[in-house]
Amino acid sequence: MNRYLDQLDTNRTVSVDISVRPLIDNGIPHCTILVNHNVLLDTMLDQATCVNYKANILDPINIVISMSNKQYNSLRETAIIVDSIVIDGIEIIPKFNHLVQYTNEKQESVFSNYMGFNGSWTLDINQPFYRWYHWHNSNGWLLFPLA
Amino acid sequence: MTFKKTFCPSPWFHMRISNNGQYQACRWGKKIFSNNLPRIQTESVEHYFQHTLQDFRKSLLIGNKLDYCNECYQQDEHHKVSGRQRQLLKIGVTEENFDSSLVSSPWFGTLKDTQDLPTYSALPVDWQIDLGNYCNSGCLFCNPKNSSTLLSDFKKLGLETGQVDRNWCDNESTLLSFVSVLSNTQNLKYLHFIGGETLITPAFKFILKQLVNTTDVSQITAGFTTNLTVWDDEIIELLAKFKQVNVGLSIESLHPINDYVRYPSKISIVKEIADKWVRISKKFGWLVQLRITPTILTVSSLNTIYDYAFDNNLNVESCNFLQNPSFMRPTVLPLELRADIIEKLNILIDKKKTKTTSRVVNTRNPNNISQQLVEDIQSYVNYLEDENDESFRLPELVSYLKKFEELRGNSVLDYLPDYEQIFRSAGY
Repeated sequence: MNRYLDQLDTNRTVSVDISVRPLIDNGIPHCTILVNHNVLLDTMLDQATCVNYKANILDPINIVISMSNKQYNSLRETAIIVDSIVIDGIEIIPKFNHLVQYTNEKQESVFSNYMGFNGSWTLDINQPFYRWYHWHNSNGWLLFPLA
Repeated sequence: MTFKKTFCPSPWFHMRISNNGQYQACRWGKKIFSNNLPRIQTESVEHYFQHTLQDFRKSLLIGNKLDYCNECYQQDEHHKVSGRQRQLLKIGVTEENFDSSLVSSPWFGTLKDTQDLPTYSALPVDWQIDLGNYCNSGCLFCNPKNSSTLLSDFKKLGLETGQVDRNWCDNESTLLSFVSVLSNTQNLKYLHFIGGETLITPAFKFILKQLVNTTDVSQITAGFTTNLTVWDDEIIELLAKFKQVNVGLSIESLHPINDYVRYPSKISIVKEIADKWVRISKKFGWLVQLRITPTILTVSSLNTIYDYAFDNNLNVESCNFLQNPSFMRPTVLPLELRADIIEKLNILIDKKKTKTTSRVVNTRNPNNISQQLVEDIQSYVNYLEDENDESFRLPELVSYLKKFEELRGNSVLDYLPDYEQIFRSAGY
């Protein structure tokens, strides 16, 4: 048996695992990955890459993946594909693709994990991850105690 | 058992008032009837919830396994969604990610503070309100405390009725003071009413009217359970003013055995009224659930309930596995007779199985109904496969049925001819 007192470790973290891969038929794209303003990747992305970040469990998680250096060519493609985002073991995409903001120079609004334009793909988890997950996973009411 | 398997946040935001006005910590908890327990006639809701319940909360916080909570533990064991899991989900806690989701819950600090405080300052926002035993049905698995018809039958048959107190809500001043507590509760979220039969209980309409007149009910969800024998348009009009309505339809089977068990209902009328609730609920966007209490007599046609549920995209819910009367438990059915039922249920599971793997605890999410139904059927398969044979209770069952049959002029064998041999061997 353990007790509520044993559950008080609020210093625990959640692991944010991000996997991206490039399409490089028309040149290598430049990719940056930021989580909570920490730069995890800033490189010419010529191969599939995984990055990891440990966030405090109560912190919001802001993920920004940016692509630049794409030369547009209708016959040959350059792109970045966000293969997976896993937070504390929970797959976030494609289930929550609709919550992503994709700002790009072609001003195309696409809810997808495919970054075909120079721009930024942002997933903003603006509250503790498990509360966010509760809301967006259709888990029903989330009651709050009265102050 | 670990803390993860015993902890429940329910008493921090929920409570129940029983038919006689006695307070209960939880709608799923073991029903305790005692003259010594606090009741609305002698103790205020505020005092009970804020003072009396505090030791119960502390007991949960130190990881005690409570006899009061056994029915939830049993459901957990058979992978049926228990009340405990439903209440955990309301504070954002899931079994799969228990530690992390608990630390992330908005209630984390409130729970922590409880350990040190002698009282609690909030009021319940999630209620079960038992309105008394006025009921036009005499369901065989029910009892005189919850059915006035059964009370009358018990008396005629010379059966022990137990202590049946006056319904708390027959007293208008008590009722008014209760409504006043509800009206004064900040962020009141959910009121679930049960009877007796709610639609014929004057207090049901009275409370709805009072709340509509005094409170912003557009922020409150109302739920109730009805036995599908009556209809009241005025109640529909009142309910329509609430934010959301959860309609619980009590039914055991679409097979005529429903008439025998839920005497004197008639399955054709029951079905007609059920269809009417389904139609009106679609119109208002209300949630309909079939509320079942599987017994030895109805478990063999449980599949008919799920067929109706699949056809109409309805959820099926039972508060727990039937405990009392013990001789009506599905487990009184000998093991060899369970096999056919398990097979029928497994066929239904195979036909309807979805690919989703994560478990549905929010059974009120209409988007997951198919998966919820499959999981619920599976819990009955687990129960029938794993629970011990209690067929030694058959003679007690037969004796009970025969008494009622004398009064009602019917015979279980007309409804369940396949059970003739086991009933005969038990003295039928």
